[in-house]
Amino acid sequence: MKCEQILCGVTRPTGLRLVATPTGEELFLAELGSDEADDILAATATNPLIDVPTDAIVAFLHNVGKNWKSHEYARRRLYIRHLCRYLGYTEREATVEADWLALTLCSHFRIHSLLEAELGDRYALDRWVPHYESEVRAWPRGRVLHYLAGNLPVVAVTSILRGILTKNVNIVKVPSGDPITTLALAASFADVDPDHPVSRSLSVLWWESGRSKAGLEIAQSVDTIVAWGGEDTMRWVASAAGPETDVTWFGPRRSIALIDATHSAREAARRLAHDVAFYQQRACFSVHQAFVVGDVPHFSELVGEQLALYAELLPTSSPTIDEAAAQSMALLEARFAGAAVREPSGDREWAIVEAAHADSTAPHPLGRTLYLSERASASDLPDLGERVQTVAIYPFDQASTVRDALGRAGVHRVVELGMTNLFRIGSTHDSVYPLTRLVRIVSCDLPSAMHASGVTTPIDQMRILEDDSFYELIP
Amino acid sequence: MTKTEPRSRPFTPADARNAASRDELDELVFGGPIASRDTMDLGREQIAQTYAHHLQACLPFAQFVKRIAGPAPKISGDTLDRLPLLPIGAFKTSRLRSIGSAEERLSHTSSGTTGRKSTIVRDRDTMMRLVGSLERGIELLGKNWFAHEVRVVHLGAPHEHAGDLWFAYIMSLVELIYDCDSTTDLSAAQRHLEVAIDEAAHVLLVGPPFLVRDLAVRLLETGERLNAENLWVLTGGGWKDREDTMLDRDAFAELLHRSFGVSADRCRDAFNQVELNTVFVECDAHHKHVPPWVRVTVRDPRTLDCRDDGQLGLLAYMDASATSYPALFIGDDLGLVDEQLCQCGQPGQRVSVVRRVSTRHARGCAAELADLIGETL
Repeated sequence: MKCEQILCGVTRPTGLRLVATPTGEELFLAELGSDEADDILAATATNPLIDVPTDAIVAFLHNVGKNWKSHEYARRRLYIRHLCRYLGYTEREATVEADWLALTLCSHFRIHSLLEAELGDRYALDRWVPHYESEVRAWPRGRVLHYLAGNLPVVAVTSILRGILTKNVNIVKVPSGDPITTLALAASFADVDPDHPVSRSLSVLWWESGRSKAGLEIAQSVDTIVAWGGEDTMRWVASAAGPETDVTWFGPRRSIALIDATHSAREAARRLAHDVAFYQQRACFSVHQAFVVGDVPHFSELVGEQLALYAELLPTSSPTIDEAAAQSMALLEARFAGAAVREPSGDREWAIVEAAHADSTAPHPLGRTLYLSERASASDLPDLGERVQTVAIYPFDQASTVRDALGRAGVHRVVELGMTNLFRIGSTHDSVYPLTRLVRIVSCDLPSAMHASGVTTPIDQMRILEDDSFYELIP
Repeated sequence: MTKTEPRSRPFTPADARNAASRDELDELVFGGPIASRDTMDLGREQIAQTYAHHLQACLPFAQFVKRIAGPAPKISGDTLDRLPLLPIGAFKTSRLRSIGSAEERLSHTSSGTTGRKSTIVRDRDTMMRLVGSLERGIELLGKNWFAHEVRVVHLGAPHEHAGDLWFAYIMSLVELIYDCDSTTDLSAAQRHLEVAIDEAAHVLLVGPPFLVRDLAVRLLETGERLNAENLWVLTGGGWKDREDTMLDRDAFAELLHRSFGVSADRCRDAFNQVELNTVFVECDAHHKHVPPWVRVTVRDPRTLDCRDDGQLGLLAYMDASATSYPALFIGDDLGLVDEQLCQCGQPGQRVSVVRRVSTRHARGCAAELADLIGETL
């Protein structure tokens, strides 16, 4: 399969490079040429989206989403087939991804709410909006480089959608781990209207991380970089970004659960199984470890049953040699540490390690591997380790007793168990509202005739100096 | 070799057997042919003896084996492939040792590319056998070399400054065997090399491939190419965070030929990792030979059972030369093993390390490595 370069919505021929895929199938990626940076920067210098009303953008996305919702849409069928063939998804998993893509694009009402929640007004990018003693309007930052991670398709969709909603020019550096989602999304824009400003706002590139001079030039020339990925990505972006470039990081994170299994243990196990199994633990919100009040071996048995059920509902493909090795070694290490290990007798579709103390610095093997540790009481907060994004709690009424401590400990998000993958309107992403990072908020302050807050007269600063009355204004 | 003293308990018949066994082990490491059918059989027996020794002397290892295989696994040269092996992560969470703390001479740490570092405890005997393995490995380069005829230029920190970081330490061991100049300064290395080539019968340039490459490029850029018929190049340690300058085998050999005047058969690579007490050096045919006191198996990544020769899997090691800690582990490299008469004429196992298991953490600490390399190599 050939993955072409897309420049401002238009496919353009360039050199191809064979990259490794989990399935061993041949995938050729269009590699950014060493002399292409100037072309790309020139082509993306003008912003086709800047004057397009938000509603028009949302309507376009809705149309694209409706295509994705249709089981007859050829692009969707191809996308599902490619996820299976090149990235090793099962058909069920790939279908769920396509459905999520459709849901995200079609949810115009949620998009409006998202704009309102993060920017204060759904029209903040369209008009001047009264805001205390000013009127404010959000403007796109300009060129945004989305430096994507390949762990999940939803990363690409989320990042690009944010860039489009904020009317930026979006240059996407796709990961070799999943170039398919971004290219399918860009192609589906063109399917609706190749000349639409949304289509023309999107460019899709690939270069080998850390090695491309042209990639470096692009990173140095954009206004904002949204960087997803591991420490290597972070390090490269930090070194490549220009001094005035704003960088938003979505670095490696993990998530945990705090569970009181003395309450409805079976329901807790069912919810936990979802938070462990969805996305095969590749997402930052995936639960890797649960701290449990109650009978841990019994709870482990219940979770095992639910994970087995989940394996039927959403089967995964066979692990790669690397994934299988990492999981086997992690389980052997757990056995060395004296932990009990629970796993199915056949294919290792999941595994549970009952560990008194799990080493949070150890690489987690993913593959639906859950570390269960005992916790003394519902108010007992275990050592969470570093980089915890989401803490899932059950029963949720216990959240009020621990969320202050969790916030102080550096956790980014607290949710009910079973809900980690659903970001509610108003929820933050790694403690920020991402749309605010993609816009400049320009203010137009009220004139002097309008009284300032706490002042009962018009503002005449010369008069105040003449009368030497500044002191009188101090409340 | 000095034998380790028994720890805080009376000397027993088992200790006597161990002592006798260690004589045979040292004979294997320090003398005789590197590998023959006889030494390979002897090696398997030594590995079994060492396994039994660690079961007796290293409590965490014994507890682990008991959990996996029951209280009394059958240990012999014929059952080696069925015995439980430690996960390499055990060295990152525990300081495993089969000696008393008084006998501990050196501890080494890995570079910690996954964010966790292995700590390995070595006593004098174990350390000396490691040096012996390096010496035996270098015999693969020149079987008839006398130590006094060899001069080494080591691109790295001097032995006394190598610290506890394995990557630096292992390369510096050549100083204990041969007349050696160690430096990370390329111009100084060039001078040392030129003098050595003039004066010594055999010259060995040792270092990580990226520094050897840097020196080679320097020679080409300054127009001071060498044409040394007595020079050999021995690399080890991989390209680390200098992968952007990495060359494939042929391109590297071609560069060394143009710069140093060495042919491809005189450019060899060596493999070691901190948890392993033996250095594997390439032969004339560029195969890394496993000496008889080490057994390497390839494990199925799902079951960790042994795979047949020629199949890709996790490399697992049983190294009899380490008596201070159990060098009996499954590592995190994928590779291949075969056992056939090599083109170089040597029997025994040959190992090929293909790559590190790729996890999302596997490339996590390149910066730390870069700092360490900057300091030490």
